[in-house]
Amino acid sequence: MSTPRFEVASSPQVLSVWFHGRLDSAGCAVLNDALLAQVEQVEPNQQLRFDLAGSDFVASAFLRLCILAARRVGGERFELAHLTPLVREVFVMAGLDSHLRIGGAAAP
Amino acid sequence: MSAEWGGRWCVPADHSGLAALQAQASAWLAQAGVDAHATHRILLALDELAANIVEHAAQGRDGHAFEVCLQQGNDGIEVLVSDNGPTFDPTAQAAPAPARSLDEIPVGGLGLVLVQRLADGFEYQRVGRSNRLRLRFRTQPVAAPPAA
Repeated sequence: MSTPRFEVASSPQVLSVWFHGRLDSAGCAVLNDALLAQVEQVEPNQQLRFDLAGSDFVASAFLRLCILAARRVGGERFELAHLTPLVREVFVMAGLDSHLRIGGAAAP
Repeated sequence: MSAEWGGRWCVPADHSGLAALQAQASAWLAQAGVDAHATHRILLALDELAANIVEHAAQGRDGHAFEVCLQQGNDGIEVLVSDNGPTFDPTAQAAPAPARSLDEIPVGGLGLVLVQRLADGFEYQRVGRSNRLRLRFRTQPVAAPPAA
C-alpha cells in the first residue's frame, strides 16, 4: 500500500487539492504538515476544495485535517468533492456531513 | 474464545507497523472472501485502534508492539487486538454530544467514535497486564461456487 500524496492547483476562485492513495493514519501523518501549510496559502477570496476521487479510504486522521482546514478558511468556503460511497459513509458516520459541504460523488 | 486464529500479527507500534498491518489484514480478508464493504469497515476499525495504541499506549517507547488476530466466525469476522499499555477501556468512552457548529466538533476521539459505529460487537477485557479488544463484523455470505 503506497504512501498517499496530493496535488494542488490554484485559480483566483478556488484552491483545489487532489488526493491520491489511502488516507489512513500512517499516510495522514506523512501528509499532515505539508497539507496544513497549503491550507495557510488560501487567499481570503478563495474557496478550498479537497477532491477525493483518487482515494477510496479515509481514517479519522483525515477527518481531523478536514475539520482544521474548514475552520481555517471558514466552513462556507470549504468543500469536499468526488467522495466514493465508502468514503462518504465515513464522514456520515462521524457526523461531519452536517457541518462540512460535501459535493458531487466520484464517477463510478 | 477460539483457540485458532486465521491471521495473527505482532505489529510494531509505529507508523510503518500500521501500514504493514493494513496490507497484511487486507490480503487476509481478500483470501477469506470477505465482501468489499465489510473489508473496508474492518480495515478502518483496525487502523483507528492501532493508531490509538501508537499514540497513547506506546507513548514513543521504542520496541513497543501489539498483537492483532483475525478469524472467521459463524456470521462474520472476529478481531482481537491486544496490547500491554496502560489500562484503557475504549468501550467505556461516552459518545460526544452532537456538535452544533464546526467549532464544537472535537478533533480528538473521532477514531473511537468510528470504531463504535463500524463494529457489530465491541468488548473490552483487562487480562493481566494486557488490554484485549474483541470486535465482531457481520459479513455478506460468500456465494457458493457454481456446480460443475
